[in-house]
Amino acid sequence: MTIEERNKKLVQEFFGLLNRGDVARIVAAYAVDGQLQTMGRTLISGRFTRAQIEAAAGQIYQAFPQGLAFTIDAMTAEGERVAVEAHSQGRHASGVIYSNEYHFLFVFREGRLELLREYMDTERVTDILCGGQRPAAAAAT
Amino acid sequence: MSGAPEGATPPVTLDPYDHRFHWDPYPFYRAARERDPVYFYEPGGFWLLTKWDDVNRAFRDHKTFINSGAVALEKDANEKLPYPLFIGSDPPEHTRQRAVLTPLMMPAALQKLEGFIRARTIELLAPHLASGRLDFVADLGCYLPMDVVSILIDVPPADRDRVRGWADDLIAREDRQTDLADRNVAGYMNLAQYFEAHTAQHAGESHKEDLLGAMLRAQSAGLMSHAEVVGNLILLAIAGNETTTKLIGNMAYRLWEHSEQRRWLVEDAGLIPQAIEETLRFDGSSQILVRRVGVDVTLRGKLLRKGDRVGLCVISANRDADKFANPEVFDIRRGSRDHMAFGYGVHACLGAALARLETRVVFEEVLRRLPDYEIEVAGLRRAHNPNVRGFTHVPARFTPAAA
Repeated sequence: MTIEERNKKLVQEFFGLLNRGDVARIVAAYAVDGQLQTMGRTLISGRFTRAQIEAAAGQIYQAFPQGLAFTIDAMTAEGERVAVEAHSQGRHASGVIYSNEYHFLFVFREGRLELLREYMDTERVTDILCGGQRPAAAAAT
Repeated sequence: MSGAPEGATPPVTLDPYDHRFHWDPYPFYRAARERDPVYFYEPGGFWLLTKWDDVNRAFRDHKTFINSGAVALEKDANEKLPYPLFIGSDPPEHTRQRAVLTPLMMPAALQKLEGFIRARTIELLAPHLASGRLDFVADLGCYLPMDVVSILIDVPPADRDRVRGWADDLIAREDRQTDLADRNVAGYMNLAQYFEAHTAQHAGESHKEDLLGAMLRAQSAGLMSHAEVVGNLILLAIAGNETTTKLIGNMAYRLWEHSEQRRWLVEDAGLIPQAIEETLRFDGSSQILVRRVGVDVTLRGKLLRKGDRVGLCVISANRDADKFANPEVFDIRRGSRDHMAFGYGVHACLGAALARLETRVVFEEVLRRLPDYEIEVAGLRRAHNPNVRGFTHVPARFTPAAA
């Protein structure tokens, strides 16, 4: 198995964990110094350490009582980097159906996630996940 | 009936031990939010936070507002208990124990219970359909959640009434009782004794894929101590039982109060999840969740010192006009969100998905069979506990099923 094939398999497993809400194994997939970066300037944007991911990972079920299902549409791998096109769908606690489209960049180091960077439609994030609210700094600029 | 504010605004006095307060605490909370939102309860020597922002901050900032030595409002109550409850711990100990239980409490994992929940609901409703009388709590709500928890922790049907009775003993409070009474301690000790025997009985078996099995496997692997396993079984018997039972009663009452909205649910059961979210916001069954101050912190000009106990008044926060438009109006179509009925953050209720599943199935079956129920107000009885809010009796009449 090439590095690229192994990393694509790790990505598939990671989305399986996300869809099952297996927080302990989601966190364990990251390197000790691994980070998640949610792009944009929304209330949920930022760069998060493993400890912060651990604290936040279970909270998705507060916004999506039945969970949020991710589907991989395509993957491209080169060395330790895997680019993923994906989409999600779930019923928000408010009753609204939420869906989004993503481009994820996974960067691995020795089989663990060094960085996961997610790009998505931030307007949908603000409208539904953040209830229309924006960070004060973003709203002012 | 309308969703108008319940009663006039009284002076700011919050007494979570006053039985009258339990009947309608909302005007008291509103007054506190408006005039004294970080309220110090002198007799108990603890703080009560009533604004959404403050409660949410306390939930999120788990290093300033800690769970170790908290959970109960009563001073030293937890220290008296020999079996630790994992909700009374903080990361990393809390994370270690929670990780054992979490996978089994996710929506996908719980889905396999829906068939049992539905069948048991129908079974509990059946004997009452011909008579046209049902008590939503005493005949239905007090049995179903305990039966479901019992499956998860392998308590056989013959033992369930006793376990439920001990859980009731543990949470019951006399009017203005501010310390644990003999009945509470006896309830706790009976549960502890039962689960000591229960774990011993199951220790040598191959463990099932349920919460008991997961905890016994964790104990064998050194991830959970025996005392923690017993403590968590006690916790599941209380938490899995009392709060969902009360939520079912609260929702039955609020839907009767707003019968036009109940009609919408009868016509479209797909709206039931939204009605559950609005009930959780408008009249949730967790009234006050407790933290202790980990480091000195100032809130709205008041200094809360390290070690102080803090009650997070969730049902007050969920009616905060600074967060929710028309907060005193029950409206299942508002798209209720951001309520903290299950807490928030690292300690958010592990059983939230199960509570939602049980409540949805119950009201799907109830509204199919007794869509026109009328609650007999004179028969309503309340549970009296500062933490849990809800009824012990919600008697109703409805059109009897044809023989």
